[in-house]
Amino acid sequence: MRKILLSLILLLTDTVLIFAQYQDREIRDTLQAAVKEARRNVGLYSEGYALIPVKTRQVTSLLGEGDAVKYIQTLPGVSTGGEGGSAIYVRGGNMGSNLMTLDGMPIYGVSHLLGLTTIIPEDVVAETVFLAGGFPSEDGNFTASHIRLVSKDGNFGRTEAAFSANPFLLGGWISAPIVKGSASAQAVIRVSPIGLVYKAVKPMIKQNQLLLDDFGALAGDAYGKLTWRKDVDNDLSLSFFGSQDRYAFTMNETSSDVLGWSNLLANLSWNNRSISCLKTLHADMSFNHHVGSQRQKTLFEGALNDFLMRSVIDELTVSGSATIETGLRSNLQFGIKVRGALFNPAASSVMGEEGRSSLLDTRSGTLLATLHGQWEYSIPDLFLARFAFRGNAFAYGLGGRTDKGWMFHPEGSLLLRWNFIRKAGLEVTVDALTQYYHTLEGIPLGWSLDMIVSSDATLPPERALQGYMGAYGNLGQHLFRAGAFYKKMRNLVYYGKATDFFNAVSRAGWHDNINVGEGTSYGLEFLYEKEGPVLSWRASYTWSKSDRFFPDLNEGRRFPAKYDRRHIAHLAADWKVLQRASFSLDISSQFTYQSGSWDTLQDGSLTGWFIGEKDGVRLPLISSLNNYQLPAYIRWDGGVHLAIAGKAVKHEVNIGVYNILNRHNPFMLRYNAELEQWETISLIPVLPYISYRVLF
Amino acid sequence: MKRVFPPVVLLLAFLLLACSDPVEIAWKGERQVSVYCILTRDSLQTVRLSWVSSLKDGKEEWVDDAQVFIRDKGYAYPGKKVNAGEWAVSMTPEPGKTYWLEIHLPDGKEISAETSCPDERILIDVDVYQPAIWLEEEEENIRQKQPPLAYELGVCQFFNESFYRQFKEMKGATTMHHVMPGLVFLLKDSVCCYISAAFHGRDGQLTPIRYLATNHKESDNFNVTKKQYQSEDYFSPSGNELRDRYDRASFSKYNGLVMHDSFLRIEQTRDYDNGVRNVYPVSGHAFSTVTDFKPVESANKYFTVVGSFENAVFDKNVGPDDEYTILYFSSVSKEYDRYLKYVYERKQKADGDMLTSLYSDNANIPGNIEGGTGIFGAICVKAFACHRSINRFTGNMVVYEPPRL
Repeated sequence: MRKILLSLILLLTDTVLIFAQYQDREIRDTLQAAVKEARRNVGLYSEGYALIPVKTRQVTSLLGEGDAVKYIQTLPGVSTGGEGGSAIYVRGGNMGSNLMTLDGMPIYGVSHLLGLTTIIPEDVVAETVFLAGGFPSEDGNFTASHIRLVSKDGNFGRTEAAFSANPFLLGGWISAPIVKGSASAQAVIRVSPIGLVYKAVKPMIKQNQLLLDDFGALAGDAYGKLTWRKDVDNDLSLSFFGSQDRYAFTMNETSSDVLGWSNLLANLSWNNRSISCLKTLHADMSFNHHVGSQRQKTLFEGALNDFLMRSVIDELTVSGSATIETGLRSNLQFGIKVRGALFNPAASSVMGEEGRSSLLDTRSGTLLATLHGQWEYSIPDLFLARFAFRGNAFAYGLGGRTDKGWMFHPEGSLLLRWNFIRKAGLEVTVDALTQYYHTLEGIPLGWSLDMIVSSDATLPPERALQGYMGAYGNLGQHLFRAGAFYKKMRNLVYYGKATDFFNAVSRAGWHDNINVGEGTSYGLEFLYEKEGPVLSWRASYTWSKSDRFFPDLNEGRRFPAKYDRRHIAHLAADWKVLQRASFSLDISSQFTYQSGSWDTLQDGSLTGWFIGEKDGVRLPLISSLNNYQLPAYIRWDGGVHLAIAGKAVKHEVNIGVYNILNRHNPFMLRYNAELEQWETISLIPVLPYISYRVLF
Repeated sequence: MKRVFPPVVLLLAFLLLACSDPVEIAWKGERQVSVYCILTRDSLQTVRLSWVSSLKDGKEEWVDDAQVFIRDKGYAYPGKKVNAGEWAVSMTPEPGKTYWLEIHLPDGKEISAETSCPDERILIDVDVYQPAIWLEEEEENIRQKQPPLAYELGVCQFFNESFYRQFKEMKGATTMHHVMPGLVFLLKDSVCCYISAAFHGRDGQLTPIRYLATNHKESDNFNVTKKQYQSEDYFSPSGNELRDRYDRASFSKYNGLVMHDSFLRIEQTRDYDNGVRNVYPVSGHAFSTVTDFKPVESANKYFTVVGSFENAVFDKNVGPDDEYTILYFSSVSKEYDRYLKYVYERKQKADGDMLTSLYSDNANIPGNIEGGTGIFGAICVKAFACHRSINRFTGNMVVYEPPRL
């Protein structure tokens, strides 16, 4: 009783640590067994940060339960985007430079509900690995970080199910054996009641404060997987995933919009460990279909204008890899991956009197063939070295309306770890990376409305060269990591007409609005974690500087990257107030301080004249790109996690408060022409959150 | 704190109550001079100098003191201060030549820029051509009855079916009974050109024509509106059934053309063929002829400009010289062209959308001033009067002389 009272008074508690708990967990995924072996032997996370869903769910989120991306946003080296969003900016890279994969399949539209959560349900995920450097050879086609999601295989022994609910998402998951011990199936579905919530809330909001006449939403996702285990050394799986976000809103009787994005993924995967000369053999084939669209209807001077724009990516990937032991302490992994993709960005059509015009086609095909290999050498508890190499042959403009061509890029990664004392040591990573597509980022919320275009002769692939050096230690309950990084980026794109992002004319000529440049980033990272039976806490800190340079912009002057946050600090704690077999109570708290991001503001003005006009026009002028730094982002969240386990059913409830300080963290700025002043707009005040989950 | 719902966060507004707080913004960086100087064919050029001010300030802060020169290869023409922030330079730019602007400030700072004057001789050629081809069923008749004719009105060609009908049937008539909103021009070998129009009413007032449309394939769509040209909107029956039928037929083919706001911007056209000779008006004579010429609309060598006359009032009882349309062809230097597009686009935003930081716009402000900001450009304007009367022409109605052979 005393403990419960104490928990109600104390607000600062511990969160559960997430690292290095894998020795007893069998994970079948695309990671090479030798790598996992090395990880166990060294006792450290050679694969970066590896997260398990029960831990990521406890991260604070407006949805009441977090996800992998929300957790990753609290790690060192990671800067966040706008309030509440799922955007991450890793070591100075852009949001579009990160890759999220599910069983090796890239996911292009990663967020639901405008960034409030990611599209992959945590119930599907066995493990999330976040890598910011020292990448294995099979990881490619990105220049910042890789969020690698590994799906569960399902339960081969018994049926289990779960149901979850929060104000934004309702979901259900089931896993059952088809043939006990050898075949299993699992399925997840989530839908959002947000449209119904709006209709319920609408009468309570004053009419003159309502901006939207009407609003409708359809958001959800579904996943299914069949796994067949022929024997201990052979398994085959087939999985499907689909997600949909569609939002329709009417501002007034003359204007309505519908915008949305969707993903459809299919994957067939085979793992074999029975071939004598090969330690492991893996093959898979996947298909990926991503669509982003916007439709706008406006009534202008009596005429109905109906404009539709769609961006589509269709991708087929075939890959295979194998691992050979080359010695007692070394192994060699090699493979090939061939990816054919069809990009069709900003295809548009107009509805006229004679019906809708055919979609203006902007398609362009690409083929990326990658030969990869890595050699790894480890001395248990002493040394680990990994040399990874990739050779990329990239063909563009296939079957499309752009010029054809091809290019070749070698790239690779180096990872060195040396324990100078037992369980602590030094680490060095060096990566040369290439990405063969660009995300023309518009609204900086991490929305999947961003347009993705393939690289070609005029938009060369993004390239990055980065290095990291630091120290690490895993001393019982205490884990630390500290280091410094430096990164150079080339062929970054800057979309110069973001103001007209939804404008048909501008979108059709998007290629003309792109500037190509470079960026530099460097910084210090620090992480400390302590996981105890009762109290666990984690602190991370990043000091970094990141800038950009585009010869044709800003008069050729360097300027800060938008999310160049000089200081980023997170402090999270979890206190197990009560831990019984059938009942547990945790109190958690999270505090974050981040230097403000940068915005471009019109801070000056001059007079301009058009032909034949005597009266001048007062023209806003920008002294520099990203010339204004928003106030610091400070947020304190607190919550309670309650779990009640019965014989067959387990209940979990998260209740908490988001932004306890009710700080007006600025999201953007706008110019109030009436008052002739700039104002910050902040979105999320103090807000309660709740989520419920039941497992069978 | 004021509670607001920013339009740009529509999809979150219904759930989240956004708040706003004021911030102070001040100009960052060194104080800059804004330069505005556009060379014209006048004998006096104007250079305006002001200090860039903060966004909030509405007043212009003029530069007090500076030495201003416009230089060509041989000579530096000095400027003389004539007003607050305004210097006048006596010189007449020549087409095709390059000029440099030099400004010396008292603190030792120097500002410079370079521009070239559009070559007037290749700016615009106005050709006349056989109108008869537009009247398929009467073509033979026309050729038999009279030699190929072309008509000049002022220094521009005014051509459409109804006009031709007027000419054919109403020789000597001095008034028209309905508006003629369509004008067909040939634009040849020009640099980037802005076409605008104004209506000169009987009261002497010039009213800009708000909407223009064209079938020119290289017209810039950056200022398109959502309005479409509908000839019936401007049609006024004359009472003559045959005339009205031809009028309707001739202009309805332009129905559906997207209307542009206030002006058309035409990129540089391709080469023209050699089958046409230039014909210029000779005072006192209304007609000239040309032979061996056939218009080919699909080759972009001819295009039509149609305009909305909704803000013009026609009075059929007034004399033919009292009401006319003026077409302006403004050929501009490359830097000035980019500047004009920017000014136009910014003006639209100032009229409508609020400024926000959510969309970080391209801050590449068009200009060519070294050591400052602003524009040093050049423009050559040719204006053509289009009378409704078929019997009258007045030569070049505005300042500029027509080109001479």
